Amino acid sequence: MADISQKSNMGKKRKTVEYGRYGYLFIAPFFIVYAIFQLWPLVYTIWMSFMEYYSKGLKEIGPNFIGFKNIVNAFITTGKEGAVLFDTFTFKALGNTIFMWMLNFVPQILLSLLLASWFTDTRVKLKGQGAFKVTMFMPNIITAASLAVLFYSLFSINGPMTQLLKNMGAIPGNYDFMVHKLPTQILIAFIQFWMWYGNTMIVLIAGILGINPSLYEASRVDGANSKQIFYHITLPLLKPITLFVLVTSAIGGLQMYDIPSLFNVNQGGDGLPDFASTTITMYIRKLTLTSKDFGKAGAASVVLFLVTLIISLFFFFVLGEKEDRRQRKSRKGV
Amino acid sequence: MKKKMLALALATAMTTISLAGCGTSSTPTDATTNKSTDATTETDTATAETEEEIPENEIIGNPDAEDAFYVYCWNADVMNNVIKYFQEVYPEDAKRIVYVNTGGSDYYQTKIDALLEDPTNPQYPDMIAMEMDYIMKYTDSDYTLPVSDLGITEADMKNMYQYTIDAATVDGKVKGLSWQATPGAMMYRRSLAEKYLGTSDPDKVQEFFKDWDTMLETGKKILADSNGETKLFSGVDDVKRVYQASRENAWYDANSVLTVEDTMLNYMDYAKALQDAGLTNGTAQWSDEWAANVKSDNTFAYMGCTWFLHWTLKANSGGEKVGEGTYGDWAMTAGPQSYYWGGTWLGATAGCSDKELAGKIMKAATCDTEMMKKICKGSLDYVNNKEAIAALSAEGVGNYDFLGGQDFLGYFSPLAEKIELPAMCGEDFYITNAFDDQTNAYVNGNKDKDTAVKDFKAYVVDLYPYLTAE
Repeated sequence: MADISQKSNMGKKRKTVEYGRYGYLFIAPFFIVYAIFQLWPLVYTIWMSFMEYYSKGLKEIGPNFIGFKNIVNAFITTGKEGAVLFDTFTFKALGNTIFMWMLNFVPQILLSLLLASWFTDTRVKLKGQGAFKVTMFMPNIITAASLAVLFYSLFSINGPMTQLLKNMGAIPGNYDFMVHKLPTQILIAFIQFWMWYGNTMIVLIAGILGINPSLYEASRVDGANSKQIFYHITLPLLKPITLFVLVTSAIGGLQMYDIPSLFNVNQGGDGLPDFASTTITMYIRKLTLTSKDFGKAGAASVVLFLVTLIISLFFFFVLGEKEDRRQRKSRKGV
Repeated sequence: MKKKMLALALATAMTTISLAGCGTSSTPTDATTNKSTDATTETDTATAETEEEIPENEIIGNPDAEDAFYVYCWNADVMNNVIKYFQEVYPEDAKRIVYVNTGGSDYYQTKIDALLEDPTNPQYPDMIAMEMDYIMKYTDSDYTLPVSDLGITEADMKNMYQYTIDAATVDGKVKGLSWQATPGAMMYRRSLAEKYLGTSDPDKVQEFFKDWDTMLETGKKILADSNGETKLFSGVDDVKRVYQASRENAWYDANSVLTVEDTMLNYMDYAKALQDAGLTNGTAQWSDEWAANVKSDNTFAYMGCTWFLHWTLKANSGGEKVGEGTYGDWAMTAGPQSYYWGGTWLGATAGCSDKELAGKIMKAATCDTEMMKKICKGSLDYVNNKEAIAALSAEGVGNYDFLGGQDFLGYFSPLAEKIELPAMCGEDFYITNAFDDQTNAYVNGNKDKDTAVKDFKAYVVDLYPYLTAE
């Protein structure tokens, strides 16, 4: 105690520096854990992508440095027809992933926005909001694995949903969802959608409630209808939250793994039918654990990293930049 | 702005990498939480960390003991068919055995491969079970020991079916032994045969299924006579193993060139013919629907083998004794082609802690005629011992009420003699999986045959960098 009081007498500048040092200690655990469990694997994965490193049977071959060959091979197939860009399994898997994510995200954000604006509308004053919110959030609590298995048995060839649709005449008598590409992808997207729209809705509600109510009051005094309020006040001011939802969902969506890997797969873990439900992470897993081609798996991971980065930056600039620019402009105006 | 960019980049990096971090190593660490010394089930903490859906290991025995002898298998087969009987004769040795059931064959290879790489691991397997689909991967490596190192001589193996020895022989060294032989047959419903073919006698029914074309005609007849109620098979892939067992070449040759031989192309054609004629219920093998059809009149027959008879057909028949479900309503006939299906081999690992015990277990389970008689009587498994089979068949052990009294031992015995080993490779399991996917795409009309074969090759070559397609 005496020490501290003495130091504090030494001058105000010194005192702040001392506290700052403790701050570093407090945040150190995060950085240590991050460096060991995230940064190092990240660097190691990128390093792996430059290696020829695989197992033939149980014999390991490599690691030998081969430069960018793995990464080039992840982008280009060289066959009889010559080099074809993006015609690789890495990009096929990536394409499946992005397609299934889009199928899930577009309806998800639309429905969530609609529900969020209804729940927050001060004029409608919906009754039993809590019950609705809980019901909608509920699917998110169930483990993704159980959901995938549940939906698989519902829609498998003799599953209750398939039987119901057959009896209604919606699908032909010998129809099997699991042998068709698009239905399988739609079902996977639907599980994701159903799981996550409640969560997105809660986030958006929080965002809308964060908007200054006086803006709504003012607009209403000016005679704006609900539609105008939604488009001209709620949406523009909700942009940062929408950006957040979009970016987190995109990153999560690109790593889609648990649901497709349990939904319609063969014993080797490939997404059926015909690779259509294999996501990029399932493909990476297959390369690492089954065929043990660590070099190629590293390259596929690097591609995934690059694509995630590009997509995130794209959203960031398209949605975020304008606001910044406008602010800067208005500052200049001032 | 810059800070935001950096933050975003880091966040992206973090989330992206979280998947890469978990992929490379799944070596289970010693779970120290288990304090009880009795035989208890213990969950393996390390393997669960990687992916949620990987089943947990089920461990029987005392893993904390100094002289623990680890036996790995993907299900309880080895426990129920081998160790159970070993225990009766050698209770002291059996106490040392720690049996690890990895829960499902999907992840078995992944799990044991990591362990085999590190002999210092306390859970290093001393003995592993190997299935036909990937036995080559282990026998053709330094990770398994020749059985001669374990004190098993050729004289010990005299009663075995030759193909079971061939399957585990690499460069003249036998590296694994099996307690079972697995000839296959066609298993059909007696009542349905009576109804639509006019007879349920295996020899007469065989006439209707004597070759592939006749089988197709019979299937059409059954379908027409039953007004579409009864299909020949549950799914097109039921006939896959028959074709697969008659392959002349492995999936790839000595120069690592991937080829699809005519046998497999014929299978694709036959599967398509079955599908186009509507002779199946459209199920996939091992799916719940496929298993459920065993007790339904919508499926006439299954192609199955020795273990299939007991653990698949009987288990799913919906009954325990004659009259319940379809129990007792089955019979076997040879079908269009003789074949075998699967089988489990035992092998000692390179770092095996006690070769003597490994030899003792293998000798008891695969060479000892008396012991094998017990196994056969107890589990009805078709044992890999000609002497035992002949003796048991004479005793009438093979008369099986599930098959309406048909003698399954006597029936399988000439079939087992005829088995010739097809060509294999260590990657059979995964390559065949990929082939099935493409066959399904072709059968369901999503692509033509050439594209299917081409896509199959492209995918396999992509998975295994040392393979090339023509």
